Amino acid sequence: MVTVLLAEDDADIRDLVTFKLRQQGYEVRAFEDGLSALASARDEMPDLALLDITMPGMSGLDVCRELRADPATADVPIILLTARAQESDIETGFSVGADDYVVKPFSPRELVSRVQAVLARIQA
Amino acid sequence: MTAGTAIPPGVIRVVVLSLAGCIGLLGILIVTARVLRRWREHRRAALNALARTWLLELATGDDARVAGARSRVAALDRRQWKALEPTVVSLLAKVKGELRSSLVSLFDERGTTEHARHGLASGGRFRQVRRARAAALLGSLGNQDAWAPLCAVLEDRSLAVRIAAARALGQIGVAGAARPLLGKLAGSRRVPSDIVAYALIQLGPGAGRDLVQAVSHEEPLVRAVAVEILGRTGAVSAVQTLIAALRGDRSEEVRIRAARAIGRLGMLAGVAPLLTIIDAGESTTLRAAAAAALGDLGAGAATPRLERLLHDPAYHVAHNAAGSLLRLGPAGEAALTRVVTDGEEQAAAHAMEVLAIASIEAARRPRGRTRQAARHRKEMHR
Repeated sequence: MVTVLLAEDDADIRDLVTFKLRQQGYEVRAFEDGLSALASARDEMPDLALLDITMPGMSGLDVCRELRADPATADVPIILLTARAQESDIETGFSVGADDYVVKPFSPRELVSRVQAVLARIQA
Repeated sequence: MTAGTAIPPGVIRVVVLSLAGCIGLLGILIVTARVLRRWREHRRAALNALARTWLLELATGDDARVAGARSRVAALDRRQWKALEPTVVSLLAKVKGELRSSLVSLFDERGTTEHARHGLASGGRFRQVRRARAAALLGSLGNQDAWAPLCAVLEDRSLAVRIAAARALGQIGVAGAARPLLGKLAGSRRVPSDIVAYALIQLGPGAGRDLVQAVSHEEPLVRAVAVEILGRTGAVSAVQTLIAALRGDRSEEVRIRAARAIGRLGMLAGVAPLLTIIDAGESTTLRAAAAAALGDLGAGAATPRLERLLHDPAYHVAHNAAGSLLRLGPAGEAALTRVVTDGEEQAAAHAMEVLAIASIEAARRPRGRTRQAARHRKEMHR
């Protein structure tokens, strides 16, 4: 089963994304902060990481940077979740190695399509 | 104290007992209120947890499951809906597409949208909270039918209501709201400029014509906000209006914002006016803004002029010129390197600073997925 690592501090979005991805047959490991997500990724590498940019403590960008810096996790596909007001972060996101981004507010269906597309691209 | 004025022991006993009774009663009231509040919170949390699963069902895209979830929410009584409503409103701001439409229809089916429209029209000083809440809800719902009543509410005597209405108009996004919103930057019963500016950005390109007209408004704040929004929304058709504001507006603040806006638009037509500003005897702040705008604009043709600006005696002008050269790419970087080697001390210091920052930024960037990482991943999967 494909495992998705989710780091999102907003409980509504975390529950929604978890629900939607599980409905599509993915295994989801959800965390409310970046540090726990990073520890989980180092403990057991996910097939894809979905990271919110703005989180207390360690941001999604920091987690992305750390994942890319570690040879063990450098190859994990990463999608960033960002609020519309932080679109300037997208450029930074790509510069630290993200594969794609989804802007909030988002359509759950579109999010699933993005996850599928990134996984397909990486496996190709 | 004389014997004649002494308080009889019976009266003291009665007073003490009464006080003790009052304290006891107050204690019982406090405990009861706390128990009731905890019970209500517990009940609300339980309902929210249950209803949350129904709301998530709306995201499945499965017609039968969506219909089931909607009927369960529709069957909630008024009190239960009131407890759930904040959760639904919060979710509205976070999603779009089918799920958002389903959530909006929950409000329509329960009559909450209609109730909010009535709330918007409720008069009186003591109903300002109701009006503000109604405006906020209609904005969250993106209710396009409410834009005209919300424009009327921009004239409300309460600042909180006016702010709620301005935010709601931005969320609804009907371009016709641009003029009333701009009007709230001047005269009486104003709305804070940051609230108006954000709402105008949300209106999108449709607001362009009203924004261009506002660049010639008599109030400097209106002109400054209009210029700012034209730049931020990429209104390329307004470039000549912005150039005219840069050249001749009476307010320096408007001219500075016009320089930044021209830089953001990234059009060739903006290069010459920005260079003219730098060369003319304008204020340091305006010249510095123009130097930075040339970098934002990506004006490669301005590289020689920006290189000379590194020698400008005004610190901010030279500093911004260095930043702009870096943003111009290889030609700009070559100019900076040249100045580091051959330029005078002050100019070389500006060039060295931006080149050093750029090299630190480059070092922080990962170098992509290495073969070693790919090998490691394969080994992990074995």
